[in-house]
Amino acid sequence: MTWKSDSEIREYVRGGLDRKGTDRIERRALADRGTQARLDALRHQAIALRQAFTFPPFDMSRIQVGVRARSPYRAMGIPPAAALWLQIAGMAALLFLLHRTGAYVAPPDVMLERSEGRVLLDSRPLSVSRSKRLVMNQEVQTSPGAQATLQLDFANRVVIAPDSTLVVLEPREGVRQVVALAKGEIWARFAAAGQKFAVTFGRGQYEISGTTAEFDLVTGDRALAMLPLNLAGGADAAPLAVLRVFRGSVNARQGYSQGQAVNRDQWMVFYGKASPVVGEQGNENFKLLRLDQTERFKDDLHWLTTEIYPLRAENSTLELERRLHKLAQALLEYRERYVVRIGRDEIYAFEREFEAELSKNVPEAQKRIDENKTLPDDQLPPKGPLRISDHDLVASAPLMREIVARWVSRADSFATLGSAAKTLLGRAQILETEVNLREQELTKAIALKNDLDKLIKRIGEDNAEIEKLKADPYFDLDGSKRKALDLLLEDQRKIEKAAGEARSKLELVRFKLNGFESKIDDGKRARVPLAAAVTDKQKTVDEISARQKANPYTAEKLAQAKELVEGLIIALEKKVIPALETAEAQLKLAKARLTEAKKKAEGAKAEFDQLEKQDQDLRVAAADRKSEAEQADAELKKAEKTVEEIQKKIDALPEKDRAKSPLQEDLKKAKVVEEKARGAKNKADESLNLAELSLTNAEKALGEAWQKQKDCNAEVVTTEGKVAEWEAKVSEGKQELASQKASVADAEAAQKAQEDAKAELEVLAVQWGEAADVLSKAQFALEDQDIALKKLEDDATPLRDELAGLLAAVDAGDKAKDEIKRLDTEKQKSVALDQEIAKRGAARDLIQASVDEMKTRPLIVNYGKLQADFEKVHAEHAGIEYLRARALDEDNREHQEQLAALDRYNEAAVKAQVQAVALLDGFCAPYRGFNLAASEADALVAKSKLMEALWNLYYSGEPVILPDGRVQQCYYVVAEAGSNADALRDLDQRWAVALATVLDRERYEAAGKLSAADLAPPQRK
Amino acid sequence: MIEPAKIVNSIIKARLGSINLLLRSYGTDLADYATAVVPRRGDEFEQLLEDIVVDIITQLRAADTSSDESFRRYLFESAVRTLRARHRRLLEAPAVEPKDNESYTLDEVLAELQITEGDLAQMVSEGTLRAFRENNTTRFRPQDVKVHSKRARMGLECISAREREVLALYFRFGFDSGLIAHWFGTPQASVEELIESAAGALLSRGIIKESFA
Repeated sequence: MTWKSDSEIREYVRGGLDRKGTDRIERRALADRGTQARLDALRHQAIALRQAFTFPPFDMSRIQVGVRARSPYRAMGIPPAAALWLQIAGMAALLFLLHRTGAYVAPPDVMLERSEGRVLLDSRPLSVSRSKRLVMNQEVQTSPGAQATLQLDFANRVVIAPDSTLVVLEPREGVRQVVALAKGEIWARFAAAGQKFAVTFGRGQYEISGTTAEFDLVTGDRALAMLPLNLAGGADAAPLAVLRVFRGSVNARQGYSQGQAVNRDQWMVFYGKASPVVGEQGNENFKLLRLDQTERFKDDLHWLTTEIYPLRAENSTLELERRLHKLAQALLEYRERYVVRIGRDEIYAFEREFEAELSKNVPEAQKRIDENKTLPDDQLPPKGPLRISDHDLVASAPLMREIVARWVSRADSFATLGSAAKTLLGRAQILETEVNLREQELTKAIALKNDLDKLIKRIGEDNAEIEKLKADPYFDLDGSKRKALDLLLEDQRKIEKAAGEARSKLELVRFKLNGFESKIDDGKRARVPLAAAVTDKQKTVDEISARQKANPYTAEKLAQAKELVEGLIIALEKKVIPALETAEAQLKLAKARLTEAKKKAEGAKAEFDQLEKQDQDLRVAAADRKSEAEQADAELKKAEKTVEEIQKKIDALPEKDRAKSPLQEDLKKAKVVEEKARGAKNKADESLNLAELSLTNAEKALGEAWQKQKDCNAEVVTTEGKVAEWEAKVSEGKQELASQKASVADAEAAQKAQEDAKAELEVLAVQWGEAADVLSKAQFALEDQDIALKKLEDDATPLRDELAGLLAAVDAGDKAKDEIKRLDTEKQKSVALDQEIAKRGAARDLIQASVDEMKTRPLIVNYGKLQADFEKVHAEHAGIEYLRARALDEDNREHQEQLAALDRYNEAAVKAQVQAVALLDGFCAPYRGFNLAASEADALVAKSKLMEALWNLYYSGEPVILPDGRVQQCYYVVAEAGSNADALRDLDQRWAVALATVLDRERYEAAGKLSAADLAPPQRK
Repeated sequence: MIEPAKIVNSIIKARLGSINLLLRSYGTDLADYATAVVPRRGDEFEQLLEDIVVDIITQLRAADTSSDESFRRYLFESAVRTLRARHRRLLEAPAVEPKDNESYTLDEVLAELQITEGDLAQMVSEGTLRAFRENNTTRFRPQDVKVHSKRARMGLECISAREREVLALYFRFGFDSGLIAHWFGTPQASVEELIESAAGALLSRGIIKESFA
């Protein structure tokens, strides 16, 4: 046994294999170590993978917040505080009602079989001692809360309800038992056969008659509250009475009319003017609700019973039942109408909406397809099944319509639109698989087709390449080009062969020539020093010759030099030196005269400066004197003026005027002053004249001194000129002497140069002779060497010519070799070209064969069909997915609406519960001597819980699913469905459980012993 | 374990704490499933997990509550559909080769170890995580990061998200390959092949071993 893969072992490790597979693997593992090892390895691998995918804990709090916010389910709960306040308010209302409830005590009536409460007989209370038998026309009146039972002829019973009045009338003809209901309600059972009865009411205008019947008749205001539940619409007027027949039949008539039969389980409603209405009694069990087992009207609810559920019809009261029924009916109707979904309606609505959508969208899509303007991707939904293309929409529209029509035809079988849509899931998955398979197949076909196209294209390329190769110049269809190449090759090979022969001779000639060449080279090498020696010696001779030519010596030049030297020396000694000595003596004399003249000039200058200073002083003194003279003159003029003025004054006065004498005195004084001034002025003038005379003498002496100074200076200048003149002459004489000495020296040097040149020339002559001998010997040796070399060259020339010929042949051979190679290449190219063409042709033929084979394959042959099938299936899948998504969307919307309705329903249910609890609280009176709890507060809470339990058992929107799977409905549903005994028994048990939950064991057992008689009267108003 | 019917009933009636009841019973498994697809528990992971739970709750009326196993099947089928319907992009996430030789940047270490900068500074000061400078940036040694990384999440990323999902469903949550194939809408053979190849990839990289050694 071999394993295809590890999958089976993995399944075994996971425990997912069936018994057979498990046994097989275990047997294999026992027998085969390899399998056992693989089993262990995979087991370890599974453990490791499980650990690897077990991650650290994650804090879900943020997720919880997000999920709660997005949860479609919303609670409509009353907050605990509000609930507590509601309970408190309910209890307060209960206490208020209890406070207002009165108590009545009814005495018994003697004509009655049974009387409870306050019963009046002819408006008088019953007395204990009175007989129970009534007489005719006696009126029995029951107070509210009281009731009485009449027995007629020991067999017929009439129970008078509270607050009712019944009159026993006298028998009429054929009618033994006649009673009149003046007010209120009675229940009557007439069982005695052959005895007719009649009951009149409505002031005697109406009568019910019969023989054996059981019925209930209610009149007055109470009739309105006891109208049949199934009374359609109701009349405009208030009802006068309501008759319900439980057994037998009665005849009801108005006045003297014929009357109308009202049979068993029928009711009749009497109106004042309108005709009575007859109808069938519905589900309401009127008798059970209205009368208890002892055939008395039930007004009080014995609710704390552990045996049965207190609101069962046989225990409940009509009024309570009707009010609870109304609440429950309203809730249930709302729930059935708004909360409970009806698949048929949803499917019908969806069919209409979807058909309208298709009618609009499909033609538009078809139009876009026709115009080749299908919706672009960005206008389609980004993803999901609602993303359907125009082609798919048009193609799948009939299918979608067919499916929707099928849903419509089976609409009743679907709970919701979503359940109908979910039926498409399987088909959608099958189609998805099929689409995938077809897509894979189509992909293969497309790939194959692409391969085929590539091969066809390749064939075309090969053909083009072959044609291109044939256009090549090397292409040789008939072989003529290669034949010409062969001829050329043959010629070149001959040349190559000759070159080979030349190459063999070449070495021998080269060997011989090398001998000569070696000797020539030796000769040439030997000639080099010889030629160098000739050149060197020639150079020496040339240099000596050049020096000889450059020698300045001549005999004439030497004699002239000697004569010049002698002439210059004579001139120097006799002319130049004496002239210089004379000039130097004159210069010395002139300098002595100059010194004396300068000394005289300095004396004259000193004398002049002294006289000049004296002149300045005299000038100042003369100026002073002049100033003093001018001042004295001014003083004199002033004094003269004073005298003249006084004189004028005196002259002006008369002669005897006494004033003249002072003026005379003044005149005398003035004249004295005038005389003093005049003497001062004369003195000053003399001083001035003396000063001016001294100044004139001084200026004269200064002029003389200035002239003397000027003469001395002129003499100095003249003497200085002579000194300069003699100094120039001395300088000229010195220059003349130096020049003359230089000329003598030059002449002596020229003389000496001639003498040196003469000596050198004599030496050069000796050297030239020696050098010329050496040069001649070297030239002879070089000439001998050249002759020997020429002879060797002459011998080598033929060999060189032969070598050149051989080398030319070798070169030709080399070129021929290249040419052969080129020609061979051309030939090979031509051959290769032919081979390539043949190869490509063969390859093309192979590809063509493959193409032919591929064209026969089913994927290619059926490509169109595959494409069409794929598009069809794809469109079908897209259509189904689209329809499914649309329906699920719609279903989701319905679901959301349902949720919203459910919220509203829950809200209403809570309100109804509050109303029902308050209502029940009013009907559930306390029991004498029994408390629900130890304290009053606990008792209130316990009662509240029990009231809630009563209501919850009476009506519940959702059935209760028991652990054993059974479904328990509420009482309302059970009663409406016909009061199934098992269901009622379940309700009894649930009530007992509710009681046990609220009451402790002792109280529970005590409650089981309570009866209606234990209710504390009065119960309510 | 709370009965599934009770959980469903309480959620539908919107009782207080009903969602907590669901998450307390099945939240860990759903979180591990989401972690298998998105190993780095960031915003994408949380969005995926929230969407999964929301879809589960929205379609809760369709749940089979007859047994705990049937209810788990419903949960994971819903999760698989949510992943494909809403987060297909996550499913297409390719395999990421682990960083063996390259060093980690500061941000990469914070994301990998899921720690705060304060924790990181403390680890560096304690020497449990060695940092060094490279190109003027702080880098961390890959060996140290791997030591402190949460379990083998780093290693699991060497296979694709699709492979991680199928391994988690098969090995971690124990669903058989036929059921997974039904959820995926693929043939069972392809699911088994995917399991083989993914397990083989983890084995070849040394993330898991076939022995306890």
